[in-house]
Amino acid sequence: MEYTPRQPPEGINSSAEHPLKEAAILAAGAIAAVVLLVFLAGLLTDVAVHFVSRDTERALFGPLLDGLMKGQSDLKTGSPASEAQATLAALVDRVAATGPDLGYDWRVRIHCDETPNALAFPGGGVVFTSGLLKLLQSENELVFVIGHELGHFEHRDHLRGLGRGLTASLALSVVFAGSAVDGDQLLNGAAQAALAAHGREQEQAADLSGMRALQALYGHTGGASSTMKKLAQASDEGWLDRVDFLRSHPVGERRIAALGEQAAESGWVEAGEVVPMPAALTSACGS
Amino acid sequence: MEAIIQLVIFVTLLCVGYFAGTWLERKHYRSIIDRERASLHVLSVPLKTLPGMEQATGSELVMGSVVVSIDYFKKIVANLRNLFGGRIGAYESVLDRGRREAVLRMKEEAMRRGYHAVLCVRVETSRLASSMKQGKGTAGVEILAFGTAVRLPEDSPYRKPVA
Repeated sequence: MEYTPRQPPEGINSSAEHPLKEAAILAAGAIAAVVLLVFLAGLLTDVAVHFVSRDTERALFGPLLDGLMKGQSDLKTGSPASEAQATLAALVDRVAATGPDLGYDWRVRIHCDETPNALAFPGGGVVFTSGLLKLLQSENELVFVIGHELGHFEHRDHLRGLGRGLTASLALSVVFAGSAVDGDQLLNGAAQAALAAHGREQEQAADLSGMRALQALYGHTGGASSTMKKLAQASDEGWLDRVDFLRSHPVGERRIAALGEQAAESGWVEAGEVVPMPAALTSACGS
Repeated sequence: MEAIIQLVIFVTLLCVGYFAGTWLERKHYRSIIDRERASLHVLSVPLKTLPGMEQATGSELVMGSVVVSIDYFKKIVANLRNLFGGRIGAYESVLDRGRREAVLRMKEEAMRRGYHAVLCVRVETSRLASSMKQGKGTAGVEILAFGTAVRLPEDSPYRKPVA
């Protein structure tokens, strides 16, 4: 047997396909799968939310809400904090009375934090930061924010938000368990962007509720757009927050413009007499 | 904010993995092809013996071992591939390089010790565990090539001139 040494040709055991092409196709597929999953989870939640009664909501979130509101009853009667608390709670009740009866026993808390923010918590909890109370300059502006938060309850967004996040992450962890562990950042980014897109529509609907409250209490919607502008400025202080698609509360030109359109459509007056901010609220957390 | 920082870190790692990995892979392939040409005269076969091998004047076990790892880019691509299935092209070139490098080291070892051919060549692969992911992670793979090196007389048909 004659033996002739020969070098093997290249490309037998490795493919010639460009790695970037493979990566691009795979990433596009995975992102599409994630967006679809989140979308389906959202649809599922929207359906499920209608089957959660207020009683179930209270039973589920009551203990958590009690924890969140802890310390409120310990406030000394007559102290500035307790006065602010009572004033705000009364205002929330007034705003709630202008809309449909949602069947909640509203629980209000002022959270001492300089970041302007307000949030709706399942079970009827509404939390305002002291930073927000300082930022707002009139009762009208505060009523807009309260109306906005109560709007979330009316549309059951507070449950939807929790449900969407929960179902989406559940679905993701089931489907991608043990496989794309290291592509996590990529897929999480896609999921968050998809979730934020849902959030945007909800914010606009809640804005409308805020304006309805303003119109009902004061006969005009003045304060709505000035609140939005203030919040936009406050959040623009960090440059990273400008990346619009990652923000769940997009406070931008578009949303302010939408407010004007809504007012015009409903025949609401855009400006009028402004009621000053109740003095008790400005000193909720001292200084 | 946090999500953006994570994304930036991820993309940076991906770019480092891709550019460094591609550069190293090209360099490695060039070296492999050159060295394969230089060691072409050393016969290496998986057969236990060949007719005429009784002429051999000496034999010894020779080994070549290499440990290779994947870059971050390949890792991500392979993880995405796990979702859809199919050929993991990103890993194929790594293992191809690993096997060829191991066989080359084995042949170079035989040449260095004055042998002319390697018989009964075997190639084995084993996974090196990493302490990450509760010991289930992979730090890399070891590819081991081994065989029996034989010394042949001048007139053996298996002894080829050095290229």
